[in-house]
Amino acid sequence: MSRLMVVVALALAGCGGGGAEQLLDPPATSEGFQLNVPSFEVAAGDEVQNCYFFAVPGTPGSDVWVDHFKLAANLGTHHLNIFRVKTVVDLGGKPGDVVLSKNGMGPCFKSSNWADWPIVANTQDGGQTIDWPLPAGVGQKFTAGELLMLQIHFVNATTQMSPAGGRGAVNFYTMKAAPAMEMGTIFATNQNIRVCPGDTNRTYETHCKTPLSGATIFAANGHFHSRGNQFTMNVVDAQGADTLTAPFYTSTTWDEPPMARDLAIQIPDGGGVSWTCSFSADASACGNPSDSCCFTFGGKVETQEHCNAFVYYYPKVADYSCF
Amino acid sequence: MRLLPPLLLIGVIGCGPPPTMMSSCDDTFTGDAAQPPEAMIVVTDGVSPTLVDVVAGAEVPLMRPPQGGQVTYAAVRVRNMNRCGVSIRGRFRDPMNNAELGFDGRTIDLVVGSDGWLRPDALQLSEFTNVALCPNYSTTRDNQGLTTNLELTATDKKGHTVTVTQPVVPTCASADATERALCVCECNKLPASMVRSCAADADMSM
Repeated sequence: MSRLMVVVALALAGCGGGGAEQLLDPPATSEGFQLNVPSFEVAAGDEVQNCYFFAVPGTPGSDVWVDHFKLAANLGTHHLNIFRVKTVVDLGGKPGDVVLSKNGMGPCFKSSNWADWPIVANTQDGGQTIDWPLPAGVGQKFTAGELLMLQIHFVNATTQMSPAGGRGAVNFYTMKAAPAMEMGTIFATNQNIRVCPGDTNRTYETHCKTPLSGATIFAANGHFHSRGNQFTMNVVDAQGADTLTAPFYTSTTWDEPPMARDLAIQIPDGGGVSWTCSFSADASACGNPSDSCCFTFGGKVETQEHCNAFVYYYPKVADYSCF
Repeated sequence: MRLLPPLLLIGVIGCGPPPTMMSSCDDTFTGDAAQPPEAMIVVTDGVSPTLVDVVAGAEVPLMRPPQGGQVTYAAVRVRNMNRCGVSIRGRFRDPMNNAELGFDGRTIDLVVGSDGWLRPDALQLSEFTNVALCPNYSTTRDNQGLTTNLELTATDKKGHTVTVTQPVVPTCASADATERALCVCECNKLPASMVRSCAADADMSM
């Protein structure tokens, strides 16, 4: 049993059985591995965002192909994201390390720390387990020993509540042989957002242009906070024009946005993905008191805003980050 | 998550004032209603709260915003338009084939300048399109140091609209040499290997 699996087993053995806890049994060692986040407290009024570091198990340097995920998080989760660790700026760790951050402060909240870390998978669905088999013949490639970071965010304040505290787990189910096609990911974020009290339907749209050819989007989800009214995604051609008459993804639910997992959207050659967020704020709301009570870019749900897109596609050319 | 139990929801629906959602912007018209809208592209470097008019051939700064990448902060100063909830759409295009290289669009509120033109608040980078050119994922074209068309369109809520395009040279402009080197690395085309490690090249790693 690998070191990771030992840690996982110990964590599972020690966890409580709270009714609102979202538990996920790990796969058999022969079928895959689990990234496990043990229970932690989220006190009333707090936002907790922790970053957990894991190594992909296996013979160091060997390929590890995954074609199926299960993602679980307690009720109240704001998000659970997994990234591949690349450039370490002010956030890093060895396998088994945890970086704790709270209320918008700390390196696990500072997004520039993982600006070039490719997204692996994500969920925003609290209180349930997402069963996500990849399309037939598609797998995501890892290298045994590769460092991954699981970031999990819980809010126990006015916009969201976490009655059972924080907890999450992700199962990676491995393949016996390499698949026909490799999965790639796109993480896109819109910067310098500012939504002020009284604003109605303030929109932000950005295009992520990628040098893909013959690429198919098979899953996507959007992420914003409680000022968000609508999140949409479309695909654009080489000149930047939307090519679908209606968005391929629409969310009007900020706290439990849908994860579209059965898409078959072609990205035009030379084109890319467009994503648009629309925001409104009540005239009596207050984000940053020192900035006219406006809500600006950042990870703190209560007082800041995001407009992030998670897109999963094949065949992979690269994992892209767009700004 | 489910924020409120059903009984509490019923209570909320049944009492209390309705949410207030009034815009604080007074949507006045500025200029001559008999004339079509006029526009000049303006940029800022995100450091000094100044606007610079963009003329043909000008260098426009590429700067690093909080999350990452390299963007040009571009907007327009306009007249003969209304000022609130103006849609601005900024786009870089390759002059060789008109391909879009970067796009950002947003709604902003303009302010009236002493010259009688509407303009963005130079203190707020959210009032500019943040048009990203980098990281550049092309293997064929550098996105800094080459002439590129910068296209801005402004449309107010009354339907007045204007588009202006200028050939410009996006230029990594940080005063910090390390940041500038990172920008050049991120904005140049990918090597044939498709693998690039800009932070290490720019000695940004820790």
